Amino acid sequence: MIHVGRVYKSFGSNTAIDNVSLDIAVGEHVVLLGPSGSGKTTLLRMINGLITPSSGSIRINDVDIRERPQNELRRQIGYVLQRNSLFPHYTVEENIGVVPNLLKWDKRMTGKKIRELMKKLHLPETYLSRMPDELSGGEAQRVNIARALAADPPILLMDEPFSALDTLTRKSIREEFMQLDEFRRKTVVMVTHDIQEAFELGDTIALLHQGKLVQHGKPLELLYNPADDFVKGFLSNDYLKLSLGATSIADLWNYLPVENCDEEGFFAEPVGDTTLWKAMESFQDKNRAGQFIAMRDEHSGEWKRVTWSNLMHAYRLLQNNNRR
Amino acid sequence: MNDKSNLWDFVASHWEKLLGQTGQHIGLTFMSISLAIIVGVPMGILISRKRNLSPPILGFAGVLQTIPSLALLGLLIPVLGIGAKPAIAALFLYGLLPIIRNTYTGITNIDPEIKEAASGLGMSYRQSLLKVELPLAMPVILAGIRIATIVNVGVATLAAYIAAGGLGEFIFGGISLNNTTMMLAGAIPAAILALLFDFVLSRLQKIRFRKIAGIFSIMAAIVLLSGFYIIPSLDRSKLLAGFTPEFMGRADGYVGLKQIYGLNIPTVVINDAVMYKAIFEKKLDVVSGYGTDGRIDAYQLVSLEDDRKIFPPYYAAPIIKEQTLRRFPELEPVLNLLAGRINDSIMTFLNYQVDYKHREPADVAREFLEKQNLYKPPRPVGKNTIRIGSKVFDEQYILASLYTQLIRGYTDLDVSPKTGLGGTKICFDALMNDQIDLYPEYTGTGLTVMLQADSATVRRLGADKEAVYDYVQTAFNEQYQVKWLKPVGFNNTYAVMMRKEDVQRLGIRTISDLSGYLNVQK
Repeated sequence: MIHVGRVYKSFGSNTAIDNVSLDIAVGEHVVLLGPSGSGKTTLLRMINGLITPSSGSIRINDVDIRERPQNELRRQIGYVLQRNSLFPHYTVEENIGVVPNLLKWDKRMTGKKIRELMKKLHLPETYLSRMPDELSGGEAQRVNIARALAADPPILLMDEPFSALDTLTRKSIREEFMQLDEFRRKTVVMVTHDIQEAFELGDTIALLHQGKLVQHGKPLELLYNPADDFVKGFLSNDYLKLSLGATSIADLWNYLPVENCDEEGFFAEPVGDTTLWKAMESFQDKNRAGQFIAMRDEHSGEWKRVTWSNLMHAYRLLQNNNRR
Repeated sequence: MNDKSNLWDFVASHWEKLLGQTGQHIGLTFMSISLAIIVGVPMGILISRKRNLSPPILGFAGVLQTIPSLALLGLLIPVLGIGAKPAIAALFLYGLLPIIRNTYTGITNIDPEIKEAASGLGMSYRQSLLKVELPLAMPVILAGIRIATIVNVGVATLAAYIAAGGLGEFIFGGISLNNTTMMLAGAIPAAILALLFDFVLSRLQKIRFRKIAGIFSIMAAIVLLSGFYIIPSLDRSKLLAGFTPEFMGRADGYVGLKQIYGLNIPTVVINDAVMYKAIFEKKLDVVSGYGTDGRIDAYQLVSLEDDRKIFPPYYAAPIIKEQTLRRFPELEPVLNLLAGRINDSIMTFLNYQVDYKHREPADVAREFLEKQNLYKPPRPVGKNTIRIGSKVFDEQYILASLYTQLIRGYTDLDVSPKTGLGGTKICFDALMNDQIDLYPEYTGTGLTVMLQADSATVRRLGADKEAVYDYVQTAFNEQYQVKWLKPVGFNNTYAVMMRKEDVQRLGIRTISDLSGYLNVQK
């Protein structure tokens, strides 16, 4: 859907983007990750034409973005910036309605869409007439997301959308956001410097360093098959947590001992979506005083009875297997 | 004396004129501010887009603001003549800087994240400017307009100097006539206007400008208000007179011309410094002036004969407090050295040297003293200092220089010049409050301005030089303990002047002739 081909960008004598090529499929959630100054934001802004490449091309649906009127292009690409990017002189309603109004939508349709989005983002309707400075950080960022989604663009660009929020709010908005249909359906390109966030939200991660794309792949690929020492080093601090969070029970299933269990398990959620991190957390839960948890693979219908050491053992086997 | 009831009486009897002046004042302010907004806001937008243009444009507007207001008015007269046009142009130039600068600051200080959001969401250049940047910059822009308006309410008083009307007419009239009531009648409304505009604009500033429509309606309101001011079109089919604020208000000035001569001529109020230039460039036909003014010859003017003797004699003499004379008894003989030495034509010649040849008053004074064998080189000074004052015109500067050089040559007193005191009232108040020790004054001014002699007394004394001198001498001694020393000799009385060519063409010699000519014209 989005094709970045051999793009260079220099500001004066500084090379910001150095020969980057990247393909993003429809519905893919790509996280642009990297230390500051790596060129991730520059790359993001090139996709909606805010920055023009010095050379190379960017195509969306096989059309070079330079061939389209820039304003029209941008109205079809949702754009979420940090918290203070809401228009301070507009109410919540006017802020969310900016793009539909630019597209000259029917007022009733816009109004309906605004209310629908507010409901989905857990913003009460009484907030419609509030001004941005009357909102908390989390609320403002919800409005910001609603504004980007209002015209239902197929592509969503997000520039460190959660970084200005405190840890707790960030976590809850992120989780809420991941549950949204809109998020699931869209092609999303998001910039972050938060490795944890990248692993949580990204189908794939594009790791940039000094303007170069070092590696683009699924989170576990980066973790287990780093392209070079930079990737390894960049992830090393968080390695264990990332690995535990990125490994799903489904990945471990074959390494867990077959100990049949016919009791109803504690995980209502499908095993495929449950990460090892989450499973380990459930052993910490005081209400689950038992020594084991029961899990079921919904494909085979098979139940397994799992202890802490079963999980650890399976994880080690998986690691060994991956490193080979 | 009860100033309050005085003021009330004055306002009651002049309310029509006061209302007119207030209207003119509001009109001048709004007209110039509207122009400054129309030009300044787009300029501010321009330099916020093209940053490299901002230093030259802001610098230029800054330089404009440093030009003294009266000088700026003077510079504009050759181009725009006199009246409302140069006044509005000058006020417009003064208003530019705060408006351009605040527009620029307002726009450039908007959070870049917000500007990026505007273009990132697909707003065009225009949409971003009109929907986001201008509304957000509006409070800052309005603050600039507010500053410009308040400054211009003040500067607009100077419009009275170039025949553009406004509350300055009463203010400057009051200063030169030693008439506090008249001054307050102009100054109080001007202060009220400034406070009122400040209040209204501060309210506007608090409004959140959500839509550009709001801004446009404000602009429209301002332009509408400037309609208040219909530029007084100077009717040039008849003769036009320009009189100084002082002359306008005096019984022995314009009032006398009307009463005694029945002179019926359209008049504008104008400052002495620009008056001569204006008549020379045919923007005016009749002006008031002084008999010994050096510019009479320079600008080819003729002073009309005062055939019905309404102008009392104006013999110049130094005035000084009795207590100062007692403290420094050596002063009186030194100051009297000049007595009777300078007649009308000598004074006119000295004035001409300074006014027109632009020579230093001190040089001209020294040359004169040398010729008269009065000059002595300065003596070493003791510990006492005499402060000599003067009003703001060249004749006074020359007299002050003469006295300075005499005192330094004949006594061991030091002299500190306090020249350039803007008018009779300021000079005399300075003398009474011990800020200066002496200054040259005119007998006629003492009679009509300080003593406020009634018209019967003025008529009775008539043109008798000795009688007027004796009258003021005695009265000043009684009322103020101030002594008039011996007159210098010349009579710098008021004069009504016209261009030489007009006088010859129309056959006018006396003020009665002029009055007659005007009445026939009707």
